[in-house]
Amino acid sequence: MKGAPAQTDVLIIGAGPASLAAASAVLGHNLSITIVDEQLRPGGQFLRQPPRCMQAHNWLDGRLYRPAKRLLQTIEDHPDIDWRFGTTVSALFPDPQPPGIGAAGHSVWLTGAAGMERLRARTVLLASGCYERPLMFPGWTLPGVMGAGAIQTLLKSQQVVSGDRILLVGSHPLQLIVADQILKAGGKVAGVVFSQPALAGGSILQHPGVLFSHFLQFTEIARVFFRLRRAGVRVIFGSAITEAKGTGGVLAATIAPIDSMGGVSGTGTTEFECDAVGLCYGFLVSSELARQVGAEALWSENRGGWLVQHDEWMESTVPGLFVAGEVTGMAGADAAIVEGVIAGMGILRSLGNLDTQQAELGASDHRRQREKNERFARCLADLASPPHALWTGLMAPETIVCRCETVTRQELDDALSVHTHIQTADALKLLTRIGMGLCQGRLCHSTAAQVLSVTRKTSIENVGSFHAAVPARPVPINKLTNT
Amino acid sequence: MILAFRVEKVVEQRRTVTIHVNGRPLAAFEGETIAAAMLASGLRIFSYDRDGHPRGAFCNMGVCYECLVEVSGPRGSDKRRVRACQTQVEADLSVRMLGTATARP
Repeated sequence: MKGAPAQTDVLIIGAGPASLAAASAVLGHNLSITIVDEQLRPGGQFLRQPPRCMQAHNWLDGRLYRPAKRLLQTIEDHPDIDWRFGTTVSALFPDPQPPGIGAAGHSVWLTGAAGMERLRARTVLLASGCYERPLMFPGWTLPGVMGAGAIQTLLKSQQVVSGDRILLVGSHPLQLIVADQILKAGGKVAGVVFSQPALAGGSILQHPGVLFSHFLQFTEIARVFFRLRRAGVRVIFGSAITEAKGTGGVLAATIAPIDSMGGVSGTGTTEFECDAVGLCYGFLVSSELARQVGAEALWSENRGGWLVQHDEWMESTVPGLFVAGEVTGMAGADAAIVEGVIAGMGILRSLGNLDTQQAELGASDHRRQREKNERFARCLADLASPPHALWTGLMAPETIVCRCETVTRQELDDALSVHTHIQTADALKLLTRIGMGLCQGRLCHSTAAQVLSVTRKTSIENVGSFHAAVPARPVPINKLTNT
Repeated sequence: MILAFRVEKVVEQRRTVTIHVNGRPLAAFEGETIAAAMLASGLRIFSYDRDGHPRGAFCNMGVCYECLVEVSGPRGSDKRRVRACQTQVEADLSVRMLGTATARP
């Protein structure tokens, strides 16, 4: 990284709904705006776009996509934004600006096709979204077992149906949407298996306010549910996947009823023939970059793991670092858009483009909407999560927990029984190599922490997370040195 | 079993690109990722772990690195490791899977 770093007023990390909304809010104030995303087009995972040469008819024509699609259409290709696609933020550091500018400032390392470069930003918005939280069970590392979101993004952005017969297993209603999209694309759904009992969805009636404010979401889920039933798709409640079988890839999967303790007894199993399995047990937020600079993050079992804390302007505990969207707690695309606007107002205020009163005016409606969204998200999070015991209850001794370093449950249990002083996730990592691989613990950190907390009878907060290290993603050494 | 497939009816006519996976030619379409092209051709195995067990694409969004492959240009030029789900196909691209189906000592 040679020469003086480039500068930007507003750096937005991620190009999903929250980022696009924030950029829209900040545009028109004579500020330089840079948006960085690993994908090649904006939209995030929610609106993961096909490449331009692959025009898909009726792309995401469902009602739930309309508001975000409108936003995308107004801002994609906006000439006043410096778009950096195919680019990864490798590191984020505090970098105080010359005095008098009025913002705290950060320095980032960007890694793209051309190599690595440094960029100084007066303010940063982290809207890096989330990814699937994997449930671990015998056979979950077989090819063909994927996140339900992977099956969905292969459809959205590549027009590829992931299998001939796809089984969806999980606890989140997203799997109904994915099943519906598979059918529309001409695929076959072997079944949709929910961990909740059949009547769990009815508990929403205890929250009439939420039902009213988010009526569209509920009716859309209900419409999809009945459409699947009409199409003859088996929807099973109160069960979980216990095994994926096959050589060279999944060919069948076993499901079993969940007992009152949240475990699986293994009796009354059903086997499904399927060549793809989508896991839909919830999500983990991508808060690594915020944790890397020391922003406060609190654990939430049902809202996505380590959630970045923030004030009423969406500013984290690190001055100049704003957050919006799933990194503040899973709440969906519409809520991300609302948070993006509030963060945009916060950024304009911190840069002195708006005074507090003007920013309040711009944020007030969105803050009211955010409160409603939060009630909905809390309600959905409780409804859409599997029983706590399921996360650690399905593994066999030889089941892999850390895919990158091939660390099994047995290796974790052995390490914990021999080294009784091990109390933290980081200590377990040093001893067993769990979380040391290329994904940097993103897939296994929550399960590792849960195994540790169950074994030591302590809280996830005491166990902690794996240290969020630099670089945030693997970087080839020749890019690090730009040789 | 036909495994994964392309939704041909909703996609405009596209240009084809030939890549090589482990030395064998594989027909792909312009704009596809290596992962999508492999899956749509029935290739589910992207690598083998240290115990010789197969692994496949898991997240399709660049997080898990389970689809990491070695790619190179014509005559082995510009050899590098990439996530198959984040990398588009291009003419004359060679893809090599990592690991083997036997356990490493």
